[in-house]
Amino acid sequence: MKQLILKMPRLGETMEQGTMVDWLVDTGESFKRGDPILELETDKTIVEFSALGNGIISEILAQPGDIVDVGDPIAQLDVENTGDWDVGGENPQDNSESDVPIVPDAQSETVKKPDIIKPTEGAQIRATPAARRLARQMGVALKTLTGSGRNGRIEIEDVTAQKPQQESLNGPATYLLIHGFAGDSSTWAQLEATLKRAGHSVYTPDLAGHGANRTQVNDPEELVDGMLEFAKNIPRPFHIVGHSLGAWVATRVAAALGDDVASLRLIAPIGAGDEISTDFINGIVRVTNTADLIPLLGMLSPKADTLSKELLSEMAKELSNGRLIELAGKLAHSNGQRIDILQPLAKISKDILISAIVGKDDLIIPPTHAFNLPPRVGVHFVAAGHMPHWDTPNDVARLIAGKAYEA
Amino acid sequence: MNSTAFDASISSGSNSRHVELYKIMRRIRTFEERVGELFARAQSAGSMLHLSIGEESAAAGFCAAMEPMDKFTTHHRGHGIFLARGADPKKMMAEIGGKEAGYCRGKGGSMHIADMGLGHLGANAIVGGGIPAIVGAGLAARHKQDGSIAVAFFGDGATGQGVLYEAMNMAALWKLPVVFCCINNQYGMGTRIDQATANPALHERAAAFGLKAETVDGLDVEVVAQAAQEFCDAARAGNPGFLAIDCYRFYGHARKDKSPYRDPVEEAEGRKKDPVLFSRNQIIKLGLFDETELDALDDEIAEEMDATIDFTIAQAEPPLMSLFRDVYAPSEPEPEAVRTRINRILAND
Amino acid sequence: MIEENIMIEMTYRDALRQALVDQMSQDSNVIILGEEVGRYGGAYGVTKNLIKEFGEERVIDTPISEAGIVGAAVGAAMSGLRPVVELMYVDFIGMTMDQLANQAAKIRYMFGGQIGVPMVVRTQGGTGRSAGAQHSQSLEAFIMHTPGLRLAMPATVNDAYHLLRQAMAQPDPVIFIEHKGLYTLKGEVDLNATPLPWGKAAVLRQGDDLVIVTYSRQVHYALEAAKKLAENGIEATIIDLRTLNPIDFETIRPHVERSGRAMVVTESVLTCGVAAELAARISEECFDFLHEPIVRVAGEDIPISVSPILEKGSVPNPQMIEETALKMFS
Repeated sequence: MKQLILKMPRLGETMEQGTMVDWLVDTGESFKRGDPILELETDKTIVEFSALGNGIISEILAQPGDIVDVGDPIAQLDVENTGDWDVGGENPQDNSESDVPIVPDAQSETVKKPDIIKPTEGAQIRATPAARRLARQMGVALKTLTGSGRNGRIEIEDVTAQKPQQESLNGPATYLLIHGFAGDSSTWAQLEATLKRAGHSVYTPDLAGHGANRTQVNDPEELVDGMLEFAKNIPRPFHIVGHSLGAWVATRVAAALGDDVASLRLIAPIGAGDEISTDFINGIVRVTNTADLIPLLGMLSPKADTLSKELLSEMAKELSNGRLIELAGKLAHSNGQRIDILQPLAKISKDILISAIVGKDDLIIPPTHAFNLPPRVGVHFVAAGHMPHWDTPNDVARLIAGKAYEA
Repeated sequence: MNSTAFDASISSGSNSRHVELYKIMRRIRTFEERVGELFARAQSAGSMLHLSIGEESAAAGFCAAMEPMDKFTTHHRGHGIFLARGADPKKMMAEIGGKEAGYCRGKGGSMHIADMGLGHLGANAIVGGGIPAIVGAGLAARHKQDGSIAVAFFGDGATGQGVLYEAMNMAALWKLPVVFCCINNQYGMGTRIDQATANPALHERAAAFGLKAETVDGLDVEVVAQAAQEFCDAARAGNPGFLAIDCYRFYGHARKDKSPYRDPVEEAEGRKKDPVLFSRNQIIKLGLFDETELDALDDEIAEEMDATIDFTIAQAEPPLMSLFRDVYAPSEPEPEAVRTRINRILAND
Repeated sequence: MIEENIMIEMTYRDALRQALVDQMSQDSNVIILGEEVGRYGGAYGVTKNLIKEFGEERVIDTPISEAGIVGAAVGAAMSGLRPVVELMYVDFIGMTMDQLANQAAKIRYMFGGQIGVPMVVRTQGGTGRSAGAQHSQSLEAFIMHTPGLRLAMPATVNDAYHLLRQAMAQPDPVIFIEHKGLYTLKGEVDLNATPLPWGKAAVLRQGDDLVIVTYSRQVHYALEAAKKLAENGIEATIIDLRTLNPIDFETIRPHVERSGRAMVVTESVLTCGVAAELAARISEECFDFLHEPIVRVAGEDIPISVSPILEKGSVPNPQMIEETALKMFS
């Protein structure tokens, strides 16, 4: 005889515990394989449990009425052969229920994780499946097309008509990147590198009064003048990308240069609505040290806390001279923004390909302002704050230059 | 040991026949006890296991009157009938365990077991569902003039189903070589026959269709076997019949679950009507075997049935790819798997 | 043996009858079971005089016991016969559903491939005779929803003959639904021709602008509409599915990919119906090629009335198909 602990059996796939109803064999009594030794209640039915081999009950560990989890001891047995009592697995139904995924075709045995591509554009555009497929193949943004079909639906013909204009986006091109308020050319570092790697020429001047550009500036108009001056030396045609206040400057520059501008891309543009975070604008121009700066940068982007100490202290030092206080007052007052991008945009939106990239978690300018942009401006909402080119650089590069970019 | 029903068709009432019928009943009982054990060992596929313990005389007795080419269908409580017709208990247990080596490659289980070689056109999980097929088998037997009969085995619960009466009418109308065998274990799941049936004399209904009809007590397997012989002979001669066999279901509806809906006194009385014990006592009384010899026989059977469990545990699961096999004939394309289809539609090419 | 190809003009009804006669002459295991199939000759006359030709052992008049008849056919098929059941109206299929869906459809699978159930249930459905809500339905979706059952629905006289003969040679149970409005349709049949294979759809008309996928009586309506559409410069392809299990999608695919416009036409009700399944398949398989939504021209989600005007209003007609097609190009 060998000792064996009898555990609460799992009778049925849903059983997690059982109620002891009665022992049919007393302590010291012997039983044979097949003899009912125990009654259990589970799933509202009372079930007899029969011995799986010959033996004797040496000690009863669970009494009638006890509720016992599956696998917990209920009796001590002396048995002839412990092998008789092996049940097929801890969980009897596991093998039939099959944790093994049902993969009937041999091909998918080596399931490779697919690259997840979530199209951020075109979701609310009327277009036929056939037109969407062609646009995808040609790299044409549906937002830039006008549908001639039922209810303005984009059809195959609408896509084919756009082909020549769009194709020019794909070869080597020239980009002018205009940073935002209180920033400088270094904010473009990542996008600039990505575009250059793809063979494009990239210009990232500092705005007047920003970064290395020491020109004293009191009025936003002076930013436009300075940029137009800079742009004289850029080969035509070129694409303009502007961020925040830079988006307004970019729009004004595009309006002045007309056909020389191949496209205009606005990232988190200012001037499309009233609200703006005055906490940020008034705070950033009055920064005196790193401790002032950190929370403000936190409003810009969750990636701000990856900036180095040296960079932060340099930025704080740069800002502490207060040279942007005057300009800040021209951008916003206590009731909101004083800049308007909508009017200049409306004028040029028929002639220049324009799109906007807006972070849906922007804390500086509400992303809903994008709805105020003129109808022909395509808007891409991306998972980002006020600095999409920091937060989701590959998406921004793809939206601007029309190709997929690896990080 | 290789007992089959056909050993039992030795001349009625002979000494060796007593022993053969006892052996068949003991094998049924021990097999079904092991079915309960398979479940307790977590080796059964599912828990829909309906035991016919207490009803062994119906299976053993009736099948003793059948010939090898005869066809039959059973209900969901049909392990005993299949065994009595000569089924291999290992292949049966493997089927109940959902294994590839089972009679139906693990797809049928306890309630949908079948073997065309033994004339078993299928157990059925729909109460009454297998009855009308017997009318068709009877038509085929007559069409081919092969002298076979077809038997529908079902419980008292099926007498509530309309299709039984459609089938009985057609069998009587066309004088088919068919027997309707109703194993009346007094319960349709949890409902006693007198709670579901206005007139529990079930054979009277069949008689109204012009069928030869009778009820016999299932305590003595020899009585069952003799009645069955009369009904099978009559059917073979073109007189279809209905034989009800009264028994008592010892355990609950499924597995060995207790029956809280049953009066314990009634249950204790019912279990006294034990056809296996009765037969054993008869054998001793007739001096054919003594207790020790019968114990040895029982042990031999227990060993055979223990082996069915070990066999089942050792068998392989059906291959996953068999999932799409046998929906249609092997000459036909298998259905496309939903996953395969999705992968095809969403492929990037 | 030289087989001559001779075109014979006959009705849909006679073509069905001829198929039964030819198959019964060729295979002595074929028996017919059904209500009124013998002495009466079939409610729609398809089995007329067969009892004289083959005897009452093979053409069996049954009691009005639909479940029992189909169940008997299951047992007969498992015992080596090839039963052909006539179910007088498809509307009665509810009576037989256990025997069809739980028995015939699953026996091969449940029993691990030991045996099949080679039987045919011939029945008829559809509107057109003011037969009312319980004798005019199109219940093919019931059958399509049960794996294991094959389903054929002939539209032409040629298919009435060849498709029925093919059905009687299938290894698995086949539900064969005729249309009560087509029995008097006349057409030419070549009894010796090699028919289109079982399970293959027929392209009855080719056009580059639109594909109409349909079956049974609506095939004729679609052809009529296509003629009118051609007058407006719209060329439609008409596909007759012939069998609904299996569905021959590979014949549909290139036509949808070419034209980008697909209409599915059925007399059965819209919701969860044949048209729903076909539209879903086309949208999955041909998504990239579509210029228009796939339009379902189907029976209304209502019972059928006895009043002829209400009955006609319940199901598609040629005008509805034509108007729908025109809208797809507006």
